[in-house]
Amino acid sequence: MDLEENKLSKRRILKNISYILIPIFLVIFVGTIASVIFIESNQDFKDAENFYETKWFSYEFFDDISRYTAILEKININTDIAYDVQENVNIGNSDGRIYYLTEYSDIDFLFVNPEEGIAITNLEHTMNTDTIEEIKGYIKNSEVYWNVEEGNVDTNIENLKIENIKYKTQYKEIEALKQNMYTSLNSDDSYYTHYMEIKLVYDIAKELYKISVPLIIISGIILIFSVISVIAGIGRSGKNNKINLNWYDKVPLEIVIIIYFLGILLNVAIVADLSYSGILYSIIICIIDFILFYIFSIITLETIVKRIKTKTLLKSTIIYFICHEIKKTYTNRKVTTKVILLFLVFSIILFTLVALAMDSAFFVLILIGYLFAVLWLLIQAAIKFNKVREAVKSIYEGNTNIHLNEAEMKGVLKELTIYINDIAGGLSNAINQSLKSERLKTELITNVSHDIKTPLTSIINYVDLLKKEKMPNEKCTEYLMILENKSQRLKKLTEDLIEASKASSGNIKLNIEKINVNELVKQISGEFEDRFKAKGLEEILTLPEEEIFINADGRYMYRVLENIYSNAAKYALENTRVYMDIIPKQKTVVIQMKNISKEKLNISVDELMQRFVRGEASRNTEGSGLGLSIANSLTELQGGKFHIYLDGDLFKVTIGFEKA
Amino acid sequence: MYNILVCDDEKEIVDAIEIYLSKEGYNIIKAYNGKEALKIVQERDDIHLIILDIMMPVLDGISTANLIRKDKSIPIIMLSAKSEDYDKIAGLNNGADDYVTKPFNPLELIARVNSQIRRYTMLGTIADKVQEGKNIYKTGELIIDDNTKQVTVEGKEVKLTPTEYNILKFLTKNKGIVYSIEQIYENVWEEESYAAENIIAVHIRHIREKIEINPREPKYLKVIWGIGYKIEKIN
Repeated sequence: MDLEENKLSKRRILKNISYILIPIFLVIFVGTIASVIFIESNQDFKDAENFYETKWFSYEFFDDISRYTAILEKININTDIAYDVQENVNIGNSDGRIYYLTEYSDIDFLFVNPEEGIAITNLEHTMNTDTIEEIKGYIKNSEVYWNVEEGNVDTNIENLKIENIKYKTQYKEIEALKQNMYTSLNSDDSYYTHYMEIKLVYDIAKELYKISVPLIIISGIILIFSVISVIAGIGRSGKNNKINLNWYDKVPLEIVIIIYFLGILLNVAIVADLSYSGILYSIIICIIDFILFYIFSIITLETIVKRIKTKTLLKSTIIYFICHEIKKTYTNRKVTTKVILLFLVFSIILFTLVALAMDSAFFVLILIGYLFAVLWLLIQAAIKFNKVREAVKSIYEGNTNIHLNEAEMKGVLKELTIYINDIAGGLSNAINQSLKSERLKTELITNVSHDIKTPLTSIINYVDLLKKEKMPNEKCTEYLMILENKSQRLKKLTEDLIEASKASSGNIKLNIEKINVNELVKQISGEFEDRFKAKGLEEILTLPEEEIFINADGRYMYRVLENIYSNAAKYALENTRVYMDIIPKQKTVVIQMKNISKEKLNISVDELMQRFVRGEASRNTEGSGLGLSIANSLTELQGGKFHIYLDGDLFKVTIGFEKA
Repeated sequence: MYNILVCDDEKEIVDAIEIYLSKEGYNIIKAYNGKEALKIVQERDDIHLIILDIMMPVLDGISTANLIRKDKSIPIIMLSAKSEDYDKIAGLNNGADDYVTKPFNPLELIARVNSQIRRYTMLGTIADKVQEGKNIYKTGELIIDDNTKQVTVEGKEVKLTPTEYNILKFLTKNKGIVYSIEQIYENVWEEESYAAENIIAVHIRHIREKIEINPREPKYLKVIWGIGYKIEKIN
């Protein structure tokens, strides 16, 4: 039981851990596969050392940069467009001016046009210090930089260096097109953000790609195990191994599936809506959405697995319900056809009357009358049904002396009435029979015992007389001893037999009074002191301080305890202790005796309680084997509870009574 | 020489009883059914005790006892295999003075026969002569003389230990009243008893073994299970 409990709780913990593991490893698993697909699908991505080295980036960036250059050119032309600071510097051999466009925090760039003596940069302005050379130095230290001077590109992006020539042409084109540029500088930060986002994706994908094989295998295995443990653990809770179904498990399967698909649709709609939002916002929403959808998926999975486990998956569908109802109607067609026909007749008359009543006050009255008549018939049927119900209830409660009037019933109810009358009659006969036979049995046992006692008296007396005679040899004395022992045992056996049969049949008159348990136990303990001493048994009495009373028959309580004490005196191991405790509880009191058995108790408690079974297999000691059975019967007759516990050689008897 | 009529339909039982009682010096007259017994009782005036079986052919023991009691006061001991309470009550109510169940212990039967004969023939036993008075307590034929510290039951002196004597004296002094172990303890020792002690119960059993013919069915010192002990009030 405990082991089972332990196993179950382990399984529950495993399930809950799995619930947390599944989403984590699902993300890893799917992410890795997506990364592999992402990287593998593009030779360029696969070959590049890092994001900036990809051809994709260089094309995109170059594209952007050419547009950017154009913009910067435009700034150059229209000096009234906002820039923060300007400073005089040397550009080439001539004096020039440097413009700081610090609000444009894109990729670091320096754009120099010595012809016009203008330089533009987005590096932070540090008054009086910046020279073109210094700025170049800063740019070189940046992660990604872009330096254009006289149509030459200086960048740390290898691919862009390759594209340099292409740029030169582009630059010239720009020069040519300078006059026609209209691009504004609005929202140019988005270039950078765009790159960074894609870089992030690329970097993660690349990292995952590197360790994709072990990652896919490990996360795949963990996923499989998690899913298995979740499925195994679903529905198992509480102490017994029963699967608990909640209200959602009773919702028809079709509805569950529809709800789930609606959930998926809602999800898709939410995610689809995100393409217009920023990445951070999208990620947060995606995570929340993922968690909610995951929980929703768990609920749906749980209910489906539970249904499969309890074999109610199909039964919980609406289709099954309809089919089942139709089948039920068909198998019970003896009754149902009647009901259907009656209902059809009722409906046809009803509709006809309603139609007629549309334009006739007379038919309205008839309609009302018709409805009342139907109601009256229904009430009559209900009353008859209730009579049958009452009859069955009274049989259930043990009163078999009932008879229903068959004449006043009709149809199915009449049939039912006949059956019930039959059952009631049969039951009451059976009960009388069994009472009679029980009484006869007790009488038989008592009478037979009396008849045995008379010859037994002679046997015992003549054995006793023989003992006083002189015996011819030792053997005769020995045989006589055996005769004496056996005749005494036979005497005890007949006495116990009568008592056992009376006690078990309840054929005893009780004289219930309030008796003191402490007193009773002390009295009996005193009676057995000698017998215990003879066997070297030490009795440990533990009695409560306060006096405890129960309602019982003192003489029969004495018989019960006498049998238990005598049991201990006969079957307890010599020179051991016998524990007698009175344990008061809230409303009850338990009298408990513990002793160590002399013989191996290799039988069950039930067997031990049965008449004629004793602790040891052979029956060569005193006693009839009826003692515990008598004690049990007498205790129960007085409203107490008698229990025996065997634990190895420990023999324990408890007698529970309600406190008076 | 006292004459005892033994009546049982089982010849062997009658013979056995004859052997036992003859040894005690009684003269045995035998009968094998109620009618025979009745005839003997009517014919002879010198019967001192009747031992009567209940289940007998022709006339059963209960009816026989009833008929004898119409004009005789001879003590009757019922001897029967019926051991139920209501059997004993029926026997005692129909004229029996004592009831012994089969199979019986010969010594017990002898003791009961002796007791009945004493009561019947002595025209009042020692017990009747002894008046309850100064330091003398009695019930039935149990007499305690506190002056000499002597206890006699049915004429025989009984040896008791001082503790047993004190308990018996206390209960006899208050005969008919039930005392719990604790009450006995407090009255005899004049101090409080401990909860888990069965000393008093052990003493009471010893006393019963000394003063009763059959300690399991005591006449004087009765056990009221779960309540206490008392000395029966017998006049």
